[in-house]
Amino acid sequence: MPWVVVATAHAAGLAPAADWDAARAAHLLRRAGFGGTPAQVSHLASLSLSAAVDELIDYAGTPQTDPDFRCASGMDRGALRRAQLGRSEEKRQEVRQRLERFDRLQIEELRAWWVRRMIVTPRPLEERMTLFWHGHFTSGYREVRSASMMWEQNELFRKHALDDFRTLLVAVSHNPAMLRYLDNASNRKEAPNENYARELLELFTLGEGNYTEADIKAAARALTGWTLRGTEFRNAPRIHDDGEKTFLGHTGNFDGNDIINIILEQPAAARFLARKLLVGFVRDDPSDADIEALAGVIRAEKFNIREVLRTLFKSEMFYAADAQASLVKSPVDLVVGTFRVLELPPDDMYGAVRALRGMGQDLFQPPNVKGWDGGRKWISAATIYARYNFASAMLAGTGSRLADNMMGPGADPGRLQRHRRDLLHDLDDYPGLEVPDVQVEPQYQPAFNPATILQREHLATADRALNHFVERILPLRVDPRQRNFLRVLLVQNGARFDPDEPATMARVVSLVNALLTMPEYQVK
Amino acid sequence: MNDECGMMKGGDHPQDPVDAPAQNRQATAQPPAPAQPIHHSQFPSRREFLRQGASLVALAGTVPAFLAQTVQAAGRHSGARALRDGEKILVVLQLAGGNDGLNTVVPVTNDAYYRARPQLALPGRQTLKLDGDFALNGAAVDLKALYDTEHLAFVHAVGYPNPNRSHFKSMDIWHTASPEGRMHDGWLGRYFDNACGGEDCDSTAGIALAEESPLAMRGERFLPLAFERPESLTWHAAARPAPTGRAVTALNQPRPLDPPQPETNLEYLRRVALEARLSAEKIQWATRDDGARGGGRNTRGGALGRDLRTVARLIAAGMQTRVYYVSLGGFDTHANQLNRQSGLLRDLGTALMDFFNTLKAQGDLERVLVLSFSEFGRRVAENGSRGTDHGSGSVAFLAGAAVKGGLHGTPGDLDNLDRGDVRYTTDFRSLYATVLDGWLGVRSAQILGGEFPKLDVIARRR
Repeated sequence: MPWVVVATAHAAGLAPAADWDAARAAHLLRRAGFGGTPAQVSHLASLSLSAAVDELIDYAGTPQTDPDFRCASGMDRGALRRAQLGRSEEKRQEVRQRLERFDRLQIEELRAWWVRRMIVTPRPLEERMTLFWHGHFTSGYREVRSASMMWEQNELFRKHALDDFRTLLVAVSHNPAMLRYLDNASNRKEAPNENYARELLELFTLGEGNYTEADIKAAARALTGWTLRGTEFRNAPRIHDDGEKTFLGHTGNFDGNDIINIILEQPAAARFLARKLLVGFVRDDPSDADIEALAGVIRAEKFNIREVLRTLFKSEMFYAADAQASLVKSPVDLVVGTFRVLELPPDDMYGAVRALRGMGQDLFQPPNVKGWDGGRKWISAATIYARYNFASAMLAGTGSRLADNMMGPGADPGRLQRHRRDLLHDLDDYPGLEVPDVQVEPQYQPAFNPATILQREHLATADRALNHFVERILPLRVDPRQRNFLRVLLVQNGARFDPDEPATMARVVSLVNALLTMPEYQVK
Repeated sequence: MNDECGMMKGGDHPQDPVDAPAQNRQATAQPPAPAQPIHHSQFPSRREFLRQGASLVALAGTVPAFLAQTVQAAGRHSGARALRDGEKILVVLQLAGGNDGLNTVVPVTNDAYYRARPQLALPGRQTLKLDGDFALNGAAVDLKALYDTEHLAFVHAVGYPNPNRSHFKSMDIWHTASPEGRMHDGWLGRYFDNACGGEDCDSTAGIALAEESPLAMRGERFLPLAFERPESLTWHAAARPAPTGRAVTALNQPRPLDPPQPETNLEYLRRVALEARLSAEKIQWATRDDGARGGGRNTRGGALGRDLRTVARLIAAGMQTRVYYVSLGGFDTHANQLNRQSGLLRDLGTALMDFFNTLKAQGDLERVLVLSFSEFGRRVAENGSRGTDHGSGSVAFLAGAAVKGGLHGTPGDLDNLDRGDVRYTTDFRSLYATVLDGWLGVRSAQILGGEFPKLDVIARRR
């Protein structure tokens, strides 16, 4: 019944959107990336809708200018055990503890590196999808206990950010961090461990209600043998159960690949992914018709994420009036977006990481295997203060007393390097241990100075400045009452608006501060 | 105050806290007594909280808005009346790093202990006698004084099967009450999810004095209010002139009092922002001239003393908080354990003693139960650095007017160790079950995912 599919798609608004303007371009950039400056918005707006979406999606031609993270290598447990032969138990334990501490410094640096990457990247959709998959295929550092494994997983999500979902599923199922996090590393023929099989079905592909406990058992048996040797994936036939299994109505001597193929044939698989994409990119409460329509596209595109997103980002549904400014910004949206929208230098990245944690989004450590719930769950009395004070701290600069409490002790260049040296002081003789220099130095964030923007944009009057910053920062227009409250900040007590005066500059910072602490800035 | 409660009667204690009078003065400096007590059910819901709050914003002049709510009333009670469930408060005290149970409650008659620790074992004369076989670390003089009131109960060798020796992992296990890692939210979070019913609880139902909310208090729906100091719940403006604060208040004001359903995310944000402001106002007011505030000179009991002073103030102010979470770190004594642990136990005792004295003075003694734990104990044998390495089972304790003091549970058998560690004799979930059923008045099996034997350590309700 092809006509039904067409009719549904139209009703749900997957048809190409017609209108295109700066507001829609800004919306696209906030959702597909992390927002941007007026220049970036007007560049997209100068293209057609279709060309703007293509530019964001076909980023492969845009070179990545930000250097990749380099992890220390040779720290895996097997290598260390060999290196430690002959040492006393005490010494071994002492070294182990120092290396654990070093590894925790490294994961924190990786967090700081990723935040900086998200801010500076010329390929924002790549990082957006890397974050999306990190939340979908959760692994946590605390459980995996290896910064380099988490880094490897992060790179995997980046590499397959827009690939087809099947490729991604197989890659994730072979990923060492995942093998450890969900225990498939210890899933053996003689002693099946169902943890990965269960989450693969429940959280990664089908959702509850679309399989039975027997299907989980069968999938777990099929997935035996996908394991770890040291820190690397290994397919081990010796521990693989190659007997006959019945999985979702199919019977055969299945292995992991068969299981993934059968899963993706289920109508529920496309629906599950459609819902997840809609909630991530369009609206909190997608209708069944929306879900069915996008699921149709997913099937038609054979789970090719690149083409699915291309359709979605060009659709009426994506730009619907009640979809715009309807999603709660995640802490990453807020932190990364604030750097981008105000053109702040990406200096105090460790402060940014701490701020994210305070708002409930500790990168590489989602709260549990479900990932971050997102939406309204980001907002509570405590996180509201964390969000609002982050905004103020960014503007005041993290060397200020104001930022001290929230962002922690910012800068002491060299401290990190010294600390790392102390931890590794007598390990030079460890074969294969390679430790790159610090890549993200702790630094203070300078105070926000609006002078450059005022000059560049010729904001010579209070009203021009007000209009500019409202449009730059908020995803919505303000009403006259709000406008009044904001305007007073610039012209209180009849003060003259003079961009050359420090007092005027301080009032502009007050205005920006107020804009960043509006509920309207917490949505996208 | 119930007269049967012999806890910390004035003068009983050899070392009355020097700053008790000052605390009393502050504790009694409360807003005028309300005309009549409000009877409240278990928890205020978010919506109810805001309806009260929002209608008061309009009146807000010089008096903090929440005062008109007279929630004060809920906290007061006469000695004759039994406590309502809604008036009971749990204070969880986490000793982070792995407290050495054997040098806290010392097995002074056990040769195996002295053999295993030639340098670290505490000789009898450096301890404070608890019973024939056990004595307290000599530094913990105030803990001993508390013990003598018969309202401090130690539980021997608390732990769980297949002990994990990683701080993080083991702490997660304690927080989730799930050694198998099957449950991912906190045991107190589940308690709140359960007690709040379908509606979201107001976050002030659970307060953690910490930078981040502890996993133990995070539920599927419930999120506690977490702050290191009361002043961190302040909105800080980036620049002067300051009217930004007024603008922020105005720009965050909910529109209609009863927003239409379904509520938009924007309206939801405004509602939570108001809730945050009212909670913060209340907390700031409660601790307004508190030694706990930034510039306070009172250093008794160290950081824990300060945090417990804050908790006492919040209780006095009539917060409807059911669970407070505080933490004392530094117990990871791999080296030079004797000095470090003594200092910590001394602070711990002083902070607790001051806390209970303050509670008594403000009439809240019977409302509070303290539960203290550490993620693990330490290896029985000392290491080569005059310290001890990560172990398993350790001592936990409960304190409060309702607690039956003494030594509970079975001491660990030092002649039958598990890879050098004390085998646990009481599952930590028994401790939780005891507190959930016996104090918070809920069915623990629902929250812990099974029945665990309760300890006979909480007095029956009067």
